[in-house]
Amino acid sequence: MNHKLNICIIFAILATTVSVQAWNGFGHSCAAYIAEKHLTPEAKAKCEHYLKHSFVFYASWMDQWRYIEPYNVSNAWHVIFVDSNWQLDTEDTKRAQHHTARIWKELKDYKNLPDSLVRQNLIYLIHMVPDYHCPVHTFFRKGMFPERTYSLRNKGKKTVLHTFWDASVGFRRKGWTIERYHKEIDVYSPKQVKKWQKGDAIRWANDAVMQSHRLYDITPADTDISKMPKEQVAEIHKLTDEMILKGGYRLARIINDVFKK
Amino acid sequence: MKRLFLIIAFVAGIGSAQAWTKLLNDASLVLAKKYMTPAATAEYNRIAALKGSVDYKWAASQDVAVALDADLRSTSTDERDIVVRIERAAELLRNRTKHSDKEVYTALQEILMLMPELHNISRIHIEGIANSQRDFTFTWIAGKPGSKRFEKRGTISWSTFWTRLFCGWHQAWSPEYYAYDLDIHFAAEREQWMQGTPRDWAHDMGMRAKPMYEWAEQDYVMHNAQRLNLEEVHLGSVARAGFRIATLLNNALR
Repeated sequence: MNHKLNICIIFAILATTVSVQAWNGFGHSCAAYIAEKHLTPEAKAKCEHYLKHSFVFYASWMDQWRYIEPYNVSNAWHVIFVDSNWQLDTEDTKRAQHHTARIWKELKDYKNLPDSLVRQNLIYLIHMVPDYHCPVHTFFRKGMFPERTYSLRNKGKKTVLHTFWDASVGFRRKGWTIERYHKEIDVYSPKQVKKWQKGDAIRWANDAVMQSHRLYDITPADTDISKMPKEQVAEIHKLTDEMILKGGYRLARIINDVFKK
Repeated sequence: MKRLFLIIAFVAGIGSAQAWTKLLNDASLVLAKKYMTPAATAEYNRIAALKGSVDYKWAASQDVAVALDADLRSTSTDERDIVVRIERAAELLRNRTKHSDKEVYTALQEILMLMPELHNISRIHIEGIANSQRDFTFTWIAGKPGSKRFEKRGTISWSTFWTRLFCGWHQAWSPEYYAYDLDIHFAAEREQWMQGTPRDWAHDMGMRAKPMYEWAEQDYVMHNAQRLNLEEVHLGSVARAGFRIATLLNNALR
């Protein structure tokens, strides 16, 4: 098989993977890396002990295994739902914020849990916390906001709004590594980081719901993503970067809390 | 008979296999540098400075393979055999004072390029296993099986699978981060993997490649769990390459 065809196949693999993920692979890797950079030395050592991998290795694990037994039970844990009052639906216990809170509580007793359970719970958190900070992962009940069910365009062709925002972290950032993302974007003061880390899984989900509304203003129906002016791209990055950082910082807060001395 | 197999293995393999990506080659080198002795590091830096950088396109253009007999032993003396070329390059580095700078630099380049290839599953040609000696395509399935919207499938060649797929999942990692991840993951195995010679390592890779051919063939359908689980094999190969480059250079650059 010639090399050109092989390259096409790889691009096809990468492209098709995007549509079933939340933040795409790059976004999740960035969020996990940000979290790793904000771990205490004790927490980092504990994670290495339990995971036997870097933090970032497991960034997309939940997406990769979501349809495979027995991990398909976690398929509903990637998103948060809004109730009919535009508020986080706290009664829906199947969603990400609920399982984040549950696992956080469970892990506080990690010394009495089997290593395999600690490991699996960490893997879930690494994906789930940033995942529900993805603006398109706030789901509205069917029929609630029909005006928000629309597509974008890419060089004139229809493209799915959800797919675009999943990949928005890397939009027009070709060749960026996670280290570059951290260096250029993770520039907030410790005071700001602490402010965003305050609260719990439910409060963070409420914040994610509030922020999610911004995406519809930034990319109205029929926006052609190939023709967006710099200012609009900057608005997209402002929202996605804020949510990636919040997801990463808050993930670090949980892990640091679990493994505090 | 054995010589005939080796010739056939090369003829079959030429032009079909691919080299690892730059990210994987770089990551194995970063890992190697972590375990090189100060003396080997100093010599490495001196030789590498002769030209500045290693040309990774060079590896992709090489028509090379690891030929193993049915007992998974490397006995080849063929010039195109990866093990033979690594041995010759290491020998030249050991006797580097008798050679020109250009020859020494080329030998180091051979090792940096061919050690990863020694650990590339699709470069391992095993006598009596026809599928190990050719490239073929198979189908992979990912996503939600049976779902019109969420099931994903495609075809991929055997060599692309082992050289491009898994590192594509970590394309935003730097080589340093890749090496860091491998180092944590295989900390317990490192010492054992660093033992031995290129012939032993070829045998080790034969042991790892052979079971693949119990299922790997043209038009095979690979389900997602299998695809995901095989990353462990791939990671083990990259880590082995890195650790063993250190072993080889620590011995050759004393």
